Amino acid sequence: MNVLNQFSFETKLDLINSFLFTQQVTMPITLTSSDDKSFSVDRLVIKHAGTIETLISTMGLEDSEEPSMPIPLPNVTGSVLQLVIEWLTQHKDDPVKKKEDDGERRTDDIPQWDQDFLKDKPQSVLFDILLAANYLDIKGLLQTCCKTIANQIKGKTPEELRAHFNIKNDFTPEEEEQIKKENAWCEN
Amino acid sequence: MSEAFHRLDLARAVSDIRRFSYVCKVVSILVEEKVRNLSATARKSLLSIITAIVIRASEEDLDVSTTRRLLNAFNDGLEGHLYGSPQLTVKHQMRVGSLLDAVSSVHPQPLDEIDNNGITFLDLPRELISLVMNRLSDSDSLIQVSKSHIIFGNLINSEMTTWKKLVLFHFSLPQIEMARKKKDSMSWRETFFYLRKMHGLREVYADVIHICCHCKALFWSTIGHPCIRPSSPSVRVTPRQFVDMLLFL
Repeated sequence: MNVLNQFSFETKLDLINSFLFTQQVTMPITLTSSDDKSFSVDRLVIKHAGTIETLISTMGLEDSEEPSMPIPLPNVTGSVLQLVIEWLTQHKDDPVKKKEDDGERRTDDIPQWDQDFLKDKPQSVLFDILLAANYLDIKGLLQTCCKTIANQIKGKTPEELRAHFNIKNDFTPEEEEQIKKENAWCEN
Repeated sequence: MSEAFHRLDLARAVSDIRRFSYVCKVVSILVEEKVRNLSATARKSLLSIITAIVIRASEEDLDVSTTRRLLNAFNDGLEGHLYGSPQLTVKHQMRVGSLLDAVSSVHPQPLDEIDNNGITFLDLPRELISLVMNRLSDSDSLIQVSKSHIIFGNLINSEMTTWKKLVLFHFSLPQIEMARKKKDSMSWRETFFYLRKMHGLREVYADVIHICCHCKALFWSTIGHPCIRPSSPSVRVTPRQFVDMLLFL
């Protein structure tokens, strides 16, 4: 018996539509980094990157079936772009977030894969990824980076924070005393 | 209790950030209030969880002050009369002492010394720094950051949105209205500390322990458990309920 017979007419129509749709959107897109490295990525992979999505729709590349011209990303270096694409590939099946969940102040709900992904990255790479996520408008990656940095901030004294983030102390002893006084009432 | 700790794998759950804050809360209730109610074996398993927390803190340079607080509280709890052999207590005290030494020797990783060209936290655009600050849910961290550099201080204290968002996150609208009615000129920062005193803070965990209504099994909500009736409902267990459950069952 034909396998399709068990589905209703509507389901069959949906199946055919989704098949046609995926056929259409899997045209690879080429991204070029600031140091002229090219990456060919699947159309589905970049659905989370708002900036590239907007660029594609304004350039009218959505329906083109020929290999398009490369999209230049002058603010992102090749090594960072590679990491960003790695993240996007991992999350290509996640639903796209329309709005930023900016109201939730949580730092602990980072998916296991993302935790491992950012775990051994040096701080400067983490900041580079954050900047790239902001530029490319990838909400999920941006939130994950912010949460990771916020976790590093949590529970550290000002001295530890300065050492951790390589920040110079620009307060004079008098100013420091003043801040201590200002905050004394709310620390207990 | 040690059985429950072992089965729920609390010591390993520490390394997962989603479960860390829950485990931390359970441990802090135990070390601050219940050390005297624990058997020697239970204390031993508690110590193994604390050791896991210390290892995480020293390896990843995260939550160092929380770890220090837990260790000091456990050390204080070990004073006085306890169940089990006194030798074991002395052994535990020595272990806590060496863990405290391990935590205090944690130094922030010497970062970016090799590549000075790398960008630092201060080089990020203002809106990104404030996005990170808006993720912090506790006032202590905000105050500590604002003390660390003048830019952070200005960002947190001049932009009242940071405190306003913190208030909106922790308290309900009627609570906020009540507080602001009492004193019209109260800033958002003052409102936060006023409300914290009145109502305490909201506790949110990314992963919590649930109890299954059908088979009474305890399990982590993200992992689930094998049940005879797969779709049976389960109830969320707060850290305090979890501790009470372990002590009185």
